[in-house]
Amino acid sequence: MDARAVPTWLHAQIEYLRNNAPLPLKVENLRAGTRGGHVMDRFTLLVPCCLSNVKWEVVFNGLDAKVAPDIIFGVDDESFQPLANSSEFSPGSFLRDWTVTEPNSLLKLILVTRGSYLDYQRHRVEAVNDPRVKFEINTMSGLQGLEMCITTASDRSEEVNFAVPLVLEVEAPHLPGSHLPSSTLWNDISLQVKFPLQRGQTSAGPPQLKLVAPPAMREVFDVDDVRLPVWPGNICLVEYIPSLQQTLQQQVREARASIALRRSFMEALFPFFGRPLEADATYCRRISLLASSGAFTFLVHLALPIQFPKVQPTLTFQSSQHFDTRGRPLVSRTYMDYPWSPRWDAPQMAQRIMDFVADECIAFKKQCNDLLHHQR
Amino acid sequence: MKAGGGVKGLSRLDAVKQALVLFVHSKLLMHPQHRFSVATLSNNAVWHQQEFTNDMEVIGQAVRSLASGGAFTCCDLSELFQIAAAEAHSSHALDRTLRVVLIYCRSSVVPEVEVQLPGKQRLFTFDALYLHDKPTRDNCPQCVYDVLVDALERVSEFEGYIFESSSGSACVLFRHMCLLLSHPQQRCPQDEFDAPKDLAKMVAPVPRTSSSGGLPQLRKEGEDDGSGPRTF
Repeated sequence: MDARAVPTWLHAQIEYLRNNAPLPLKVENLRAGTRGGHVMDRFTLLVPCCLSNVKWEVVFNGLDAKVAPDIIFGVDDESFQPLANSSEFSPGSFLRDWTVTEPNSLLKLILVTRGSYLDYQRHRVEAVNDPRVKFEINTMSGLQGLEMCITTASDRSEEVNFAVPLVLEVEAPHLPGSHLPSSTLWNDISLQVKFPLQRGQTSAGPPQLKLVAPPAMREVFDVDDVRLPVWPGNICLVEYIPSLQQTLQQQVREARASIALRRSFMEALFPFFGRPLEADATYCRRISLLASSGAFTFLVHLALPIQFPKVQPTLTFQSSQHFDTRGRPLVSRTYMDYPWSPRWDAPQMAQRIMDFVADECIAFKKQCNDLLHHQR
Repeated sequence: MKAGGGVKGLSRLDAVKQALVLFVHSKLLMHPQHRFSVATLSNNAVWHQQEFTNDMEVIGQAVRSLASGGAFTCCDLSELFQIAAAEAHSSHALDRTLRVVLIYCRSSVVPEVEVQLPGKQRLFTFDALYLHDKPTRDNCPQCVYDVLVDALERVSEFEGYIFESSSGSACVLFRHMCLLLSHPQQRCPQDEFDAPKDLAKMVAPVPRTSSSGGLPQLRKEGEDDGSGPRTF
């Protein structure tokens, strides 16, 4: 019987961190210190820095809650010495006064250490003796939430990274029936900028640009789809960002409008198909319906794309009465090519979908019967 | 059971197994993160596949290995509800909602449910599917049905649905199973549930009633299917 356990006091610290961290900190690989050991008192922590994650190992002594943890940084960060600073809110002072009486001690330690780490990275970037990098830093010092670091690419060359949170104007009201705090979602898009260094110098061309957003946003908006404005000649980031923000704002507005259009389309289906079995009411990307044609009962699964209504929903039929040799219900191909126009209003779209389903289900039933006949 | 569609001459147990597989597959097509477990009823509830999973192979294996445990003369549902209440707490911690779908097949054994159920909270949604023989002098399917309806009303977090059939038709069973696919957080009262509509007869859409309003957001489901062993 596996008797490995996390000490209660450590569990409390980890749970507090998981539930209250203001950034996406991730705890992984919770394990014992020795092979076959029973006390799980160390783990890997993924810490966001400059839109990627650094990996730290956090090591506790599971048998003694009074002992402060150790943190082991990555191999590329050997020159990061957070204990060199012994001021009031430094990692050193948190370790000196370490106690587990409050469950937030671990989180506070990690946040303050992360702050030191970001300062260390900033000094590394400031030390790069390249006029372009220096110019970027000087013009960007006023940007809220800016982070910078130096990373080592796979070929051992170095890159200067800047991460800039983009502030978008989110003016539309709270979506009805949605628990989504709209401002949080739409203000989580950041721009990641990389300047590769060759022999300590940047090259003349534009930097590598990438938009980064939390994975949940992909349900409503895919930042990879955004065509970034061209980087015109010899400008700096601070001059580039406003035009990017404008482009993004427009596309975000369209994405929000699309959610509303998907919602009214889904509601327009109710009079034709009755109550749906299950619908994604948050992002309005999926809805499943139960239908029948005479004695044939079947399901219709619809998937609504982000670019709805320009791109039409996909439809899949599923039988309730026909099963393959492994007992799974028979499912049709995915239909993407039925009659459709984005210019129809929602009730018209629903009517045409119903017409299509009413016709096509006969063919689907025949396919199912034929398939079963061949199975025997 | 009677043949229909592609299913010929299934025993009631085999039809129920097929219905369970239909249910799980359909739910996973709607959202891949729904999870399922299986329990059985003898005199009371016993786990058959305790760990909730969305792995079709694991569930398929669990369903295939279901077998009759013989005839039982009593059935206490209270323990089923206790097990479910405990699971419901874990589900809520994971921001999931728990459902119990009971498939009950005894025509002569009226299930018992404690009059005073522990805890006032309704923690999970309870649905029932009742397959029974036609009423005779020696059995009491109406009593069973009434007890199940009462349990639904007392225990279920969201609107519980109940279906019964003595027809022995596999297709009717599968159709009822499809109706149970309905997500509890988006349900209307059972007598207002208007799907499926027969598209072969549709000419114009039915005007919207007040019940077909906007849909609330979903939590993902965990399903615990309780199946009573059958007396043939």
